[in-house]
Amino acid sequence: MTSSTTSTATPTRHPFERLVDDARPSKTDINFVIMDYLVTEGYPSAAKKFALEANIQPAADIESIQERVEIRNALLRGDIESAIDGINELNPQILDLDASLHFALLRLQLIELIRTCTVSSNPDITAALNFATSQLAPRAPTRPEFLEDLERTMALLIFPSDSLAPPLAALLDPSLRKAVANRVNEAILSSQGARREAKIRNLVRLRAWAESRARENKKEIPELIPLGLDGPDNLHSESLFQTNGGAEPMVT
Amino acid sequence: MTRPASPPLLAELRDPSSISAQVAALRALKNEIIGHEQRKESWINLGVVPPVVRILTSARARGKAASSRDGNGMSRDGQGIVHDSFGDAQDEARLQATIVVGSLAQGGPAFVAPLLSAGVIPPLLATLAPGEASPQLLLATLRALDSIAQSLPSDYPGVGLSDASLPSLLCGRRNAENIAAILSQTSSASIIQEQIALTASIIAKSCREDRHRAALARHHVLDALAARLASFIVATGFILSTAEPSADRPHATEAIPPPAPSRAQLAPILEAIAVIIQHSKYRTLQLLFSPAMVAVFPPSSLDPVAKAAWGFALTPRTAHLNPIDQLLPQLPGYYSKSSSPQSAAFPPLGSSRFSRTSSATNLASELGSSNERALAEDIDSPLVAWLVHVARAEGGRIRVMAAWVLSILCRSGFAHKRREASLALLIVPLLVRILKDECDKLDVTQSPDACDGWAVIERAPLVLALLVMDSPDLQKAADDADAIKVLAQLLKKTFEAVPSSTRPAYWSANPTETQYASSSVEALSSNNLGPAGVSPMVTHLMRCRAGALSALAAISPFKDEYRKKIIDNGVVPYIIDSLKPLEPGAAGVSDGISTTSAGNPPSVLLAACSAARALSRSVSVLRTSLIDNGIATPLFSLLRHHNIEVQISATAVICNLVIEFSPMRETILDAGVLHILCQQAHSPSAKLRLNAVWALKHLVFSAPNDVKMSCVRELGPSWLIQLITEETDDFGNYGEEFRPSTPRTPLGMGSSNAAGEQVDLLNSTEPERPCAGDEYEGDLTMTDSIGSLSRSSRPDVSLETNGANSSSRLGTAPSTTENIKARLAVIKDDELDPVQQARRDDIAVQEQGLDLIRNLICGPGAPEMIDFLFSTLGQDQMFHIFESKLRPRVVDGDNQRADRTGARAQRAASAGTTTTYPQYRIGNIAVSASSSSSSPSFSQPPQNANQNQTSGKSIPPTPEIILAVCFVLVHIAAGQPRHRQILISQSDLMSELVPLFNHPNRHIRAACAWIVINLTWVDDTSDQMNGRARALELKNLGIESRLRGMESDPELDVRERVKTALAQLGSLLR
Repeated sequence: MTSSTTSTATPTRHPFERLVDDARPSKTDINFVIMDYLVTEGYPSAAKKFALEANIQPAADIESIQERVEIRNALLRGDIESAIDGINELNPQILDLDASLHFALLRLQLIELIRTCTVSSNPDITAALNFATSQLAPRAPTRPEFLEDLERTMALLIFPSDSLAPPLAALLDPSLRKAVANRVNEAILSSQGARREAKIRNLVRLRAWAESRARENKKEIPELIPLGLDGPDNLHSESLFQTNGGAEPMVT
Repeated sequence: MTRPASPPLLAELRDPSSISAQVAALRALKNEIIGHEQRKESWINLGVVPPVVRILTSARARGKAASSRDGNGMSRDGQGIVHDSFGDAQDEARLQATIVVGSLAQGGPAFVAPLLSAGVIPPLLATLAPGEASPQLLLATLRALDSIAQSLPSDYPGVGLSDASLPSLLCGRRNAENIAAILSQTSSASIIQEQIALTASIIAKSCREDRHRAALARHHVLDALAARLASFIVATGFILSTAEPSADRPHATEAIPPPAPSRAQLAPILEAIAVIIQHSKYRTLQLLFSPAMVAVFPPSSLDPVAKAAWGFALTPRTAHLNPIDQLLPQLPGYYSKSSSPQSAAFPPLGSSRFSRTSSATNLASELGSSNERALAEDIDSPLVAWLVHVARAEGGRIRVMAAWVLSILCRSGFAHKRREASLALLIVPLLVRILKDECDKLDVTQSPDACDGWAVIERAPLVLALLVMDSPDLQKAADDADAIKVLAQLLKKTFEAVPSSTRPAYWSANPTETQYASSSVEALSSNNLGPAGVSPMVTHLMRCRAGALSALAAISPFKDEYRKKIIDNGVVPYIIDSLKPLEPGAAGVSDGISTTSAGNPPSVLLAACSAARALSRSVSVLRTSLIDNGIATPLFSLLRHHNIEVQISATAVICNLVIEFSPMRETILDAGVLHILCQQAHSPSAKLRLNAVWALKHLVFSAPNDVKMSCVRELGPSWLIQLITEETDDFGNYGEEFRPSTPRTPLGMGSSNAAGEQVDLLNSTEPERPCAGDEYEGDLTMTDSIGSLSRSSRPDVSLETNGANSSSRLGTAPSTTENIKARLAVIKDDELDPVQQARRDDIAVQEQGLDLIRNLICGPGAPEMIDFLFSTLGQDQMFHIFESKLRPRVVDGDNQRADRTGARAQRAASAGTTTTYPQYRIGNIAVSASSSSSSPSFSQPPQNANQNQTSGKSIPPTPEIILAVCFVLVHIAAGQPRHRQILISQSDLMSELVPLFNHPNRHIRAACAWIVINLTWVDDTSDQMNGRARALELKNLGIESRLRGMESDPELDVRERVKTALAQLGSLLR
């Protein structure tokens, strides 16, 4: 996935393709976008290697990437407590100021507790109940959405985990960890005064928007403009980035 | 609580078993409390604050010792390492403790109170010293200070915390220098950039008094901020420096800072700069002339040729067009509209600063040929163009803050007048749009977490107000952008009911549990939460309210059209509601305010007063909307408000409500306004004195004699004498010689010969109407002064006359830093010298005092009043005072004040300039409404600032005073024959009058002619003989010949008056 993002080679068969060929983005720009992606999304060693390979200055604070990566890894592992501690270590204000993010993290922690006790042979829900009582319940009345989230999460204790209704099943899905990890990543980035997401995400959205505008206005463009990343079946850029962008950490 | 508050943890904090255990305890505590308001509370109740603060203090002492050892280059032997690791642990403990403090402070005023009473601020500030702390510790400290500053000064005085120690300590020399050092870091590491942003944010939050701002400027914090700003300019690549060290500035390029790193935040820097430079032209200049700014935008780019091209774009892309202006869209149509051939011929000097105010337009048109008069302060800083560019390119907070700095620069006269056109098209609509977007987003039920964007909507209306307040063009632009509707919407939104508590109570598994600890710990203030203070949402809404009111006031002072639009938007009831003060004893206020209905803080009261004043300038509004909504009652109570600024503003509104035709005059009189105003006239505050005398002046106009007499009695005859005598004998009247052709109409007399016809009240921009009758009615009409009353900035004449030479001096760049320093010193003196300020105040009050006398002796019962004044004030004393007012004064070298003057003159001379510095006159730049804290009342007339006099010179009195005296004499002469006889017998006084017939000020010439007309008026045959004697006396004084010389006076008004006077003289002498 690393190298394929830069691929622009496509067989010429449409006037549009020639235009594409004429517009040669500079290598520096592409390198910059890649570097930006690696730094923002948190791939420190890939970033280091890429810097070496492309012969560019590595981004200033690889260290701060590392901190973010550790927090994200903890989240993806399901070790929410150390993730929270890590966030507090990095910037104690993030959770103090963003009650909703804090709640999301605590709820994730509750979900992990519930997961442990439901999968174990001897379900003991005391830990989960205690956690919910002390951490989540006090906050629930402060916002209606907190209450709803909490209620839904607590429902996990009641229903058997193998036959859950879709909204409940989604809570146990690992993608929730990913979603929260993304929120945390963005919160950390914005607390550091950086962009919340990689530049390339914006570029991809721009591309999709431009394409749909062009189609609306019946411009002459090929029926399919592949990104040229993977197989021909994966053309929708948004979904493509959903699956590729937030994927497992690339620690090499 | 299931995770019980663990006493072991607390014990560990109080009495650590080992340093590492202490660190662990602190870390655990930190993770306990972050994000948990409930736990923060119970930990504070358990008494966690004192030990944590103690750790901060003691760890510092030890940490310092360790670091100083390192600094001495101690060899890293085994012992050293032990020490180091001990030091590291100490540092870690300190870091964790600081984080705990910061997290506690996040909770708001209630949580900050115990921290303050435990004395948390000194150890935190001590951490700012360079080399004292690791970057992480510094960052944590700044975060904690920022959180504390956030909840520190409440907008409601007396509610919540009122601890002023942070700002005062912060602005102390040592801390200010530390702050400057933090700001000057150039590392691009994000931790450093965050430190810089936080520091700027702390400055913006805590710097609320002028002395703090001055201290920060003095201790180079402003310079450091300017360097940060310059680094952004470098990053955008817009340096105008030639980068070639020239002979006189060999090190110019060295001062250019490195470009700002990508993580640097511009908005906090701009905000901090704006906070520091507001209300002060001196500090604004300090910004522009700070080393980094001079390096990036060298003043040589201001030379006349460049300036000609600067804001003009008369022919786009001329050779000298500034690179930054090229980034801005060309607006040829707009420019051509406002440019005249004349001003094109005199590019940098051509525009009249006058046209900024409507009275000015009036004057400028009267002046006609003097349009191209050079104006000294027409510097157009390249920074202005850059800020316009930034405001357009960026969004949100950066846009608003850039516009704020921009507005301050414009209002201080550092933007070319021509820029107004581009501001009207490029900035005003942007501000209104951002206001509209944010206003739509404003939701009172919103949780306080979303307060990130609050700064934008709190600040945007104030910036808009500042930008448009003196400029009819920009007011029009604001109206075109539909600002009134948006502001009305915003104002109404601030009255929506806030949900009873924006921060709903936390649920607790065991509600009684939270209380268990309190009994066990001694009831220290550091162990209990403070009062909740004002809920963040209420504070936010009140700021929005004050902002909306200020902006409405700033848009509407000149045009009835806008006032009407404001009324049509249904704003008046809300303004009246905004005039209701917070009752100090109101229920629940001491604990905290969580509704907007409890009353308004002073900031809102001030803004509401200025809005009410702007609206009350319209007769129709005065007679309908304002009275229908009952403005008098709340306003009246504000006259007795404990905050003096509020009193001043309320009195300014009263000025407009007590004019003769106001339907509220009787009501207000009956309520006892006379007594209050007379009391206020004795106030030690010069502003309040001025406004009160002003209001009295309006009140007695056409009032029955008993009201007039009780006014004099209430004021005290001797006090009144003192008021008009005050100080001037010593050092009052300076500077007249520097403005020989002074065009300025003294306040309140602009249309005095319109004889009380109030019609043109609404159109203060209309050219003055010539006098209709030849019988001089002689009342000092107050109508015009209503117009001038709330004009925030009055044209500054002294600037004008010396403009030609001074602006050329300004135009040529100050080639040396000494030169810059010398200029700054002069401005500083002018702005900060209390003597000068006092002098300006005195003159202003004096003028009003004389006008008050004038109004006392005009109208139907005038003769009786003249006799009354003669007897109560003393006839001889009165004439003696009048005479001394007209006589030029010799500066007395022995006088202490004169000494100061001399010293200043010397300094000025040593700075390489020989005459006065009129170009640096700090007119009262219209900053008043820009800030909620300052009174939006009309400014003091900026007279007599130029007193860089060489001692021993004779100094003529100011035209304002001369005119005021002349009109009092006119009225005395309009009395009965015996009054005329008394006047003509004052030979000393009469001979002082003679030279005034050739006074450059046309109003004075006209007034002199009026004196003659009245003196030669003969009521009946019994007066015939005396009339003839008076005419002879006038002839003997040489007045007749003077009048003959005035027959060809350029002014029609003067010519007509002279014609009448000569005719009457002639018929008597025949």
